[in-house]
Amino acid sequence: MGFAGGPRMSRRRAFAVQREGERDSVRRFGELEAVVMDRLWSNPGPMSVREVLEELQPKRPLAYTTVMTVMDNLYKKDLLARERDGRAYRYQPTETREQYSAALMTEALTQSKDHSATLVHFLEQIGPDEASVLRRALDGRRRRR
Amino acid sequence: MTAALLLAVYATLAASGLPRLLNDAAWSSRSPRLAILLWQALTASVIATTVLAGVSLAMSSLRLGGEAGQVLHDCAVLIREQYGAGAGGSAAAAGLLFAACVITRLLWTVTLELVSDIRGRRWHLDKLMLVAFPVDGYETVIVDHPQPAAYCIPGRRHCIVLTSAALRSLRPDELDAVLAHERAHVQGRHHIVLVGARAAASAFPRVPLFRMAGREITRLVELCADDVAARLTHRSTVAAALLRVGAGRAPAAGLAASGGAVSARVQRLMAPGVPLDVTGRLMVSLLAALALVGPFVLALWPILGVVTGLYGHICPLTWR
Repeated sequence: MGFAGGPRMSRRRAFAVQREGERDSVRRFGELEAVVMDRLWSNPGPMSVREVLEELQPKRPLAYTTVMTVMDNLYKKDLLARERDGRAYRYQPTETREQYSAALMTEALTQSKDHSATLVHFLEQIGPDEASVLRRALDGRRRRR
Repeated sequence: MTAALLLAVYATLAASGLPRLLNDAAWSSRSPRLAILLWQALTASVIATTVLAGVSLAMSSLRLGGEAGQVLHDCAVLIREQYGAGAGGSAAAAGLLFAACVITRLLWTVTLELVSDIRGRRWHLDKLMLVAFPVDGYETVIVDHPQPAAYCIPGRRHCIVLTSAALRSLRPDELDAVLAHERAHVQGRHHIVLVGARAAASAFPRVPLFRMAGREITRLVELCADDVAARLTHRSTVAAALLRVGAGRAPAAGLAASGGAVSARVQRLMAPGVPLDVTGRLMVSLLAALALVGPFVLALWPILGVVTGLYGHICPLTWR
């Protein structure tokens, strides 16, 4: 899960990649959705509310109804699909974490008239050829600095 | 009527002619903040002028109700005379209606844009929180994604977003530059500046000045943030960061083909940044001030004249 920090992380910067445990400590209710989705994304198969609750239980004391509400909300948001298994439901994400992230990033980085000022971009894609020309010119200048 | 005519002529000329004059203004890239102020002043000026033109038209047919005292009536007569030949009651009504429409249209569009922006940001933030790794609270977050990218979500619940690929490919000083650039957007409340520019352009779509102002302000806002980041790190660092985060793959289908803009920014950063000199700044500031104040002076000149006795008659009210 996550990504490799790698040697690029400067010690001074010290980007602490938060592990699941630290993420669990955030308080807002919205983050509970993140924690639950994280479990479901990490699990190969569908999970019931009870199974998710049990996985969260040691670090987060939660009520069954809380987890059930969260998973029901996620189902209503089309993030989870569910099928009946006896008296309970078993939930499964509708898309993978990568698909979700990719769709989110595409939405964020697409400059459309509909949400131009919503997110201000640092990045606009330029072609690799143009980029290498500029990079060569820039490297020349930086060496001279 | 003359005031209304003059104002209308000015508004038309400014709205259509100025863009051609200011089209390739190289100076704007040297002092982007000042340039933004000028564009805002010109936009406000044209809008204010059209509103004042409508009001002026009505002023020449100013009528006060019978309950008003004789003193007020004399004043009104003097003022009316100074506004020139009356255009008739229906023209006056039309003038006021026009003014009201312009204001309403603008306010409506601004409100819509603001609401849509706020909703869009909240929507995106909520979705982001499901996959974002927080770094130092939730002010900066990282999203696992193979393409290097960085953007910010401005506003009250602001957030700077980096992809894992960006984090991997940026050197530490370049990372500082990226974060400084995004923080400049957030702290400078650039999203509000952009809302204003977009609102004028979408409220009155066929006005060349507003369209150009929108485009220019969008471009200049990035230059402002670049400058802030360059002050904190170095111009070449920001340029390098731009290239690292902005290049590599060919643009995806949905992404805007704005390679020209990034290229221009990189080239601008590679050259030494020489801001506008004092004379230039003064001239631009003067132009902006004139554009803002001029229409009001022109529209209210007859009233000012009457009240101060410039035209020989003094409105009796001034004696009190």
